[in-house]
Amino acid sequence: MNDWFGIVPALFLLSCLLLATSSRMLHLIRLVALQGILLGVLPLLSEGGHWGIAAVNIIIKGIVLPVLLYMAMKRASVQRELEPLVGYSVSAVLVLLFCGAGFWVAERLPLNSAMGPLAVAAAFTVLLTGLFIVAARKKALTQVIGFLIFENGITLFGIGMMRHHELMVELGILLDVLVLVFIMGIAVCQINREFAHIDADKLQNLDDLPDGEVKK
Amino acid sequence: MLLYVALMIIGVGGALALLCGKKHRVATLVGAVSLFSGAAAGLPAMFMGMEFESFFQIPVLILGIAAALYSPGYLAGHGSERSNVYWFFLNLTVASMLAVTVFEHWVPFLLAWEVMGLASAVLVMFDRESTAARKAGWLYFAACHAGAALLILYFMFPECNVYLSLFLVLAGFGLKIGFPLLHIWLPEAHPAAPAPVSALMSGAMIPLGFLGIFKFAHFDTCICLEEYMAFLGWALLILGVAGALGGIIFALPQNNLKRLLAYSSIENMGLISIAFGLCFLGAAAYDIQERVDDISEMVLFSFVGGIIHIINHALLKGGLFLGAGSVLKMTHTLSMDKLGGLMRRAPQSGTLFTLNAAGLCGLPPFGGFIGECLIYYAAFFGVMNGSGALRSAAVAVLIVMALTGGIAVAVYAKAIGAVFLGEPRSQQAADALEVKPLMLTAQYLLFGLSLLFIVILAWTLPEDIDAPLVKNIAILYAAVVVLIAILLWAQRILSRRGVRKSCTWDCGYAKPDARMEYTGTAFTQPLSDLFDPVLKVEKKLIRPETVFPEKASLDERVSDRSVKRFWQPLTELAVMLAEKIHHLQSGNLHFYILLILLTLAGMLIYAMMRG
Amino acid sequence: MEKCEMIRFIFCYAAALVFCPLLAGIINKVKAFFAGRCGVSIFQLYFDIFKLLKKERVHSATSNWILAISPLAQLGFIMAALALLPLGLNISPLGFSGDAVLLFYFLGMARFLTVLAALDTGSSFEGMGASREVQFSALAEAAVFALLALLAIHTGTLETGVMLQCAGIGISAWHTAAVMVLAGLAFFVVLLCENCRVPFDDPETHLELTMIHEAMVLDYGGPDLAVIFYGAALKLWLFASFLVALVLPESCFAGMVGICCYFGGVAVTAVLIGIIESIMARSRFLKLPQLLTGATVLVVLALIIQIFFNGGVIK
Repeated sequence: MNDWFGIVPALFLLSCLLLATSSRMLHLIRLVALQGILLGVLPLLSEGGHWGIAAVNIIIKGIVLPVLLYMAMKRASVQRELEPLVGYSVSAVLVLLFCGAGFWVAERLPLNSAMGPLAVAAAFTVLLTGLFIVAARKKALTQVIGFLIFENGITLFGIGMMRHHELMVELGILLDVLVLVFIMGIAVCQINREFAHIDADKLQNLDDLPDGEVKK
Repeated sequence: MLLYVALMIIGVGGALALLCGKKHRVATLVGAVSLFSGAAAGLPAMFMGMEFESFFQIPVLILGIAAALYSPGYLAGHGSERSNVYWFFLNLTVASMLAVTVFEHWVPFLLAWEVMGLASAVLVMFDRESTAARKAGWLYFAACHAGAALLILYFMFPECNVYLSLFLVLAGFGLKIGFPLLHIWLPEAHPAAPAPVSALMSGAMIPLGFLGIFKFAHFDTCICLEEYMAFLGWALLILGVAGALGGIIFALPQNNLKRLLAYSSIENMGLISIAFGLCFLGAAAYDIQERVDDISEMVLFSFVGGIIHIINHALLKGGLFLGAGSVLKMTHTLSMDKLGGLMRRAPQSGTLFTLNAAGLCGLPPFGGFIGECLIYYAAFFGVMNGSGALRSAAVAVLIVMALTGGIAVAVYAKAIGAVFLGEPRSQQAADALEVKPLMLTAQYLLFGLSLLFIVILAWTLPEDIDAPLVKNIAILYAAVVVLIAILLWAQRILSRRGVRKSCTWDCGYAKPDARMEYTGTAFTQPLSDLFDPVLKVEKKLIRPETVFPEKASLDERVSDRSVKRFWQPLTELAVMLAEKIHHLQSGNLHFYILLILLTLAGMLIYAMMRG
Repeated sequence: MEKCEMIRFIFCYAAALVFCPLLAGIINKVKAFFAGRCGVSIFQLYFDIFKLLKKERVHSATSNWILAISPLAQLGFIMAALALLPLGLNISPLGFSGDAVLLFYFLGMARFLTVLAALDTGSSFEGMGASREVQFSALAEAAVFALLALLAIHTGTLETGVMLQCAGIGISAWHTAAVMVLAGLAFFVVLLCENCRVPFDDPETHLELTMIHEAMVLDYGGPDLAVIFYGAALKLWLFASFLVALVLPESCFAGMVGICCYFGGVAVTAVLIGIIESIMARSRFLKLPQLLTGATVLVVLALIIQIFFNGGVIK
């Protein structure tokens, strides 16, 4: 049983690498769904077995959000992120750095986590990877996925600590992200209908300046 | 004692050569003979009493001998009318390099250090018609002085802040070694200097910076030795990693053969710096660690590896620079896109260059591998037995060294391929003829010594510096050479039908010519594209348009980014500040006297405050 | 005991020299099976080599001694490198602490010779192949040395044979198993790259513009080409041996069981390569550096986990 506390965070680390190096939307969505399901599995492993949290995680993060994302993807008909701001090889190396940073933090934080420092390190890595994907990818849909990864990191951290009040906070964030995904999903479809693309970095011309005075 | 005799012979010989004036032949004879005999006289001293300094003296002496053999042939037609000046400064450079290694006190050391810089700066500017040489000379001159200034500051205030003093010593000696950011003079000075001088500077002079660091870092005065060594170790390690990887990446797209070699020197200094960094880090961790014996292996192997690599680099890079000099001599150009096919025209020079290059890439069965292998070995021990950050750093070192080694193979394959193999790309290259035998002798000497060095290492390293590793490598080397010899012999017997010569397979195109060959630039283009975020190659592309395109061209330029991004803003800032205080220079004598008085008063107050 | 092991090692070395062309046959058979053909004989490479050996040597008029000695010298270095591996899962009698570096540098020298021979002809196709080869091998080298660092931590030794013996996908602890799976995967990618298999290079195509290794040896024919074919087969055997010894746990390293596991493992590796070649296409050249960086990154991830369970990453 104890082994799983190591394997699940290790799988999270691996999924971070794949998320940072994959250009296919479908791939990203599947990986995020996998992360959600892993998050649902984790509470079951600790003694007491928090069934409620597990169910919520699996349903919302493993099924509902990915399906929403999938629908947004279909609507906006984006398959791939072709020209990311940061290339995929560099992204992989950066994720490794995040991983190192995660371990650095984990070995220093005076936490007595139920799952040992590996979960904390993995949580930080997931968190940083999520933020990185938000910053380094152009498509709005990928950025939403980045937010989701970020949230997964927070949840992993929360479950790793397994304290009740943190779970409350975490559920609050989950709600926020849920709403965010809804709004972004709608926005993505609208943007796509309006401009025929969802490149967020091309949306800088939407300010109120007159034509020709593009803000740099 | 013998060393002082050597010093005297070289120095006096140089002075005599200068006195010969316009009699070039006599000057050359006096200079070369005195340099050769002086350096040869110094060599036995190396084996009588081995000291730490000896490892830095050996390159000086051997490259001195090589320069004495090579220079007369090289100078013929390349400024022989000023050969007296050349020999004077060459001998002075060698003598001052020896002096640098001998002096124990910092005042004579710095004096010799300055003479060494000045004399070699004159040699860099030897080709006085060329603007590039003069510019490079000035840059080098400035770098020497800045380094010396930092060192004077360092020696004047031994009790100042530990980190400040470490910064001063690293920057002061680093300017000579060519640490990243401080390296800018290297890729300018090496292409401009005469080949023997480049060889001497690259092989023997720049590693002297490490000697300086070892000899004069304030190990004795500082309070917390471990912290001091750890800091020095980290600094050397980080500078080394950046230098090794950066140096070899910048060597990739170079078109000038000697500039490519210069960047490769930066890479090799990086490797040596990595070795010494590991050594200091291990030494710092020596007492803290519980497993004392384990970490001591890393300290030992990294130190020995660094030292061995210094000597190997001197022998092999010296040979390569002499080879590049021969190329210049044969074709009057160093631009690789204009060369090619020299192996057929000058087989000995080409073969020597190829073997030296393989050695410097660290490929077995040549000399360069031993040093690199020991550094790898040390890093592996760091990975196995180190703890915490040291272990993670050792992993990074291993990956960086492997990548560097791989890219070095690409760089040297490019150099060999573009210069010596294929068909000549210009008339100059097509008309090339082999250089004089004496010049080749110098190169044979260096390469032979690098092979001999393996044998010496394998059978003289004491047991506690783990001879088994080097010995095993040497035995396997021999086995491989024998194996290949047998295979080749068997093939000779088997293929009695002989070898037919035909044209290179041309894919149906009946008239292949040299313009269709892959150029050196094209060869490394995939790799330099990969590292474009670092290199930032400036491209000017005119695409072929319409059905019958009239002109299309691609112009690529690689500029050293540290100049543009770091040094230029810094100099601009300095000029701006200088202009701010410009009005002090009013031309009014009374004002000047007032300033002098003020300064005196200020110093008086400072002295009173301290006293 | 010692003598017995030595004899087994020599036997396996001789077997490797004799049977290595079979690997190409196995791969081709698997591919033929996937394509629904019956395919050429499994011994085809032997026939090719014998036929080529009887022919005349032809060298380009542009070339020098490098082209002439390169095939055999490469073969010599590959043979020397092979002698350092635990063949038949017996520790090599030539091995010593630190031989892992030498092993991969021998292979590096073999590659250097191939590249120089390609440039020696002055052909633009061969320059293109050589240029690609140095690019990919530089990146593969980084993955290999990261892997060696991982093995050094994992086993606490630097002798290739012992290192590979102690490593292996066992069931002692989950993290060692996970680490070894990652390492095995990464090394498989390196194997595909170094031996110019799909997705790095397609040995089947005969279009010079898309090839790496085949483009570099365009100018060879007759006995020289036979040696090159043989050397490539031996190199594949070498990498397969490394992979097998890496993946198999220590319990397999004993006597006849070891020999059976070894030859079985090498054959399975060839089948795996065949399957991959059947179900995948060659990647674009621009994608390949990403694949190799990916392999390095996988190893480094394994390293981080390994170090974490072995004393801490930073502290």
